Amino acid sequence: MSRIIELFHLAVQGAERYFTTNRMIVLLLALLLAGIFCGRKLAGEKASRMLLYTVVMLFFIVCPVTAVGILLYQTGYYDYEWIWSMVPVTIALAYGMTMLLERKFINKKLVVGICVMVAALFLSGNQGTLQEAEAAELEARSQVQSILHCMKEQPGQKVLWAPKNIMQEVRRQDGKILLIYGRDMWDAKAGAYDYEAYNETLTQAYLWLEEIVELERQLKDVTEAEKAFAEICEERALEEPVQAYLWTLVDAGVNTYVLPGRTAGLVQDELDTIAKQRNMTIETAYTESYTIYFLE
Amino acid sequence: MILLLWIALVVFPMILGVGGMTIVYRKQLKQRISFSDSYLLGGILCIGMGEVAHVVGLFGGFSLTKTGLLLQIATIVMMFLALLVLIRGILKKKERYTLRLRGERVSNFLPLSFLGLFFVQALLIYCREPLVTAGDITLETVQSFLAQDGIYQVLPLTGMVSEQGMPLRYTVLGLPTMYAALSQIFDVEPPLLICHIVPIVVLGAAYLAYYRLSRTLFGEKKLRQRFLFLLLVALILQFSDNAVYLDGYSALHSGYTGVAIRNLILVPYTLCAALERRWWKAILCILAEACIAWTLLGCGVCVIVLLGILLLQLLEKWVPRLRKILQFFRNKEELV
Repeated sequence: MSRIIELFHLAVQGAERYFTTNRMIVLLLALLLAGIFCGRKLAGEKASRMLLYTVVMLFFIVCPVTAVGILLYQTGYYDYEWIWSMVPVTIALAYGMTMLLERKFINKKLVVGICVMVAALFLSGNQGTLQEAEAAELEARSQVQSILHCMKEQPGQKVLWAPKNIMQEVRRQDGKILLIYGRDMWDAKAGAYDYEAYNETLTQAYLWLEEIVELERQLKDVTEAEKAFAEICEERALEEPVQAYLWTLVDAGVNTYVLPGRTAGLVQDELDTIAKQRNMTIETAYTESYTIYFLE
Repeated sequence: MILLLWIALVVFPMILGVGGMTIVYRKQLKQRISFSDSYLLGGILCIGMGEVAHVVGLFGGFSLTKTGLLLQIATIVMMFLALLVLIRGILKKKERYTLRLRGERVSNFLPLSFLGLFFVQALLIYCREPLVTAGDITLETVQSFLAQDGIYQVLPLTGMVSEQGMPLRYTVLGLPTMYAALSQIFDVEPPLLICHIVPIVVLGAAYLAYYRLSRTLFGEKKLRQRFLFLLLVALILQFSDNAVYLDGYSALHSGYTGVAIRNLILVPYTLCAALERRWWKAILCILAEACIAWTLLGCGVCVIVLLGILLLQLLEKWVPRLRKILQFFRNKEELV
């Protein structure tokens, strides 16, 4: 029962989110209403069946009770918004606009009509701005080839710890490099494909690294950034957990550390200590923005 | 090798589809073999072959190389048979295979506008930096297959051996194996194949599906309305990439995923098949969806589309009132 109540809430919130995100659905509703109330229809038998199917499914998806039924049919695997795949929104919208153009903008006025439709779609859609990859992802992509080049020069299996964008991009470019944790650490949806869970220390190590990297990014163009970085680290006691995290990572098998400038400075001494105690060697490589430590 | 890959992705499904359609309509010699139907059915057949190879490889513990070889052999055999059927069909009645557009004369403005927009979209897909879609791990999975030369031997996101394994509902889907096999056979980097090449092919196939659907909705002769419909579909896809579950996002950013192929190709084609009462095509779409996107024991979105249209047809037959509502949507000319 609690599952059904949870799905009910998902359906109600999901519908609100969907209507906010996809404003083209308003165009579709307007066209369907216009088709129902304004004069004789032009649809043939098959098109009228398609439109009726659209109206019925629209109702089933928007009404929370029936939406819950559909979510149960999908066993909750897909989010609410994905069940809108059952409503042929694109097809019905394009069909309605085509018939409107044919009725109101024939012959020479067709170009005017198409411009009106383009304007309506433009304003209710993304307004010409396509989604772009995040700046941090793009930065990681520009750096990852040189990082991979340094890693390939070192023999042996690599197990990597690095900022999340680097780890994500490394795995997308090269399947031979292992990660101590994957994209499912920060992308919950990606974790739906396996049963594994990360321990608390790894999670804390990930959060610590991301905090430091974000701090570095914020201080990038600040004057006396070194001093500011050191002060903030001391204020937030960011140096204290380094030892515990690094020991956990080394014990877990991490032998490659890719870290941005100042962050590398925080961990270098501790890595040296670990290497001495474990009779390991450290080799260092540098790329434009990152320091790479290889522990063997 | 990239050129060969492009040729394979365009030509192979076409030949398979034409051969398949020739067999299906072997007794109906007046039935024209449609270009769009052929490519779409050929694509579905390719998905089927890929899925069979994947399942054999997964449960038989084959390496990726062996699975790819199996897929190659199956493709070559099917292509050979399709070519034989096609040659025989052409010799018997070559008029069935003409590519001529039939219908009213229409100016070049609409088709050229549509083709121009398609070209721009293809260029955008090829040249722009790909997005990392939340929840999608296709590229990592393909990279892990290639690194291990095996199927689901390690967790895709970390490369570590999994103690608890992965859910069967996910590992049974065959797209990552098909992409990995293509990458290996044609020596193409997975990011290029998955993020740039496959989405363009999927977008082209999607427009073929919409073009085929337009014939059902408007009739074969209404070329102007059909091209207008295609142009408007292209505009809707161009302007609707706000969120990951919208068709525009699927078309422009994640065309390689199973849900994108389902929403852009299989759903329109199922709708088309259901409206025309070609149930065998709809069933093939349902099976294809089960191979590439998660479904409940094969029951997914295509089943709902098919059942919805079927139910409406049955209700229309048995409920006179509904017939009156539907007549409200029909042409004045039909009433007269």
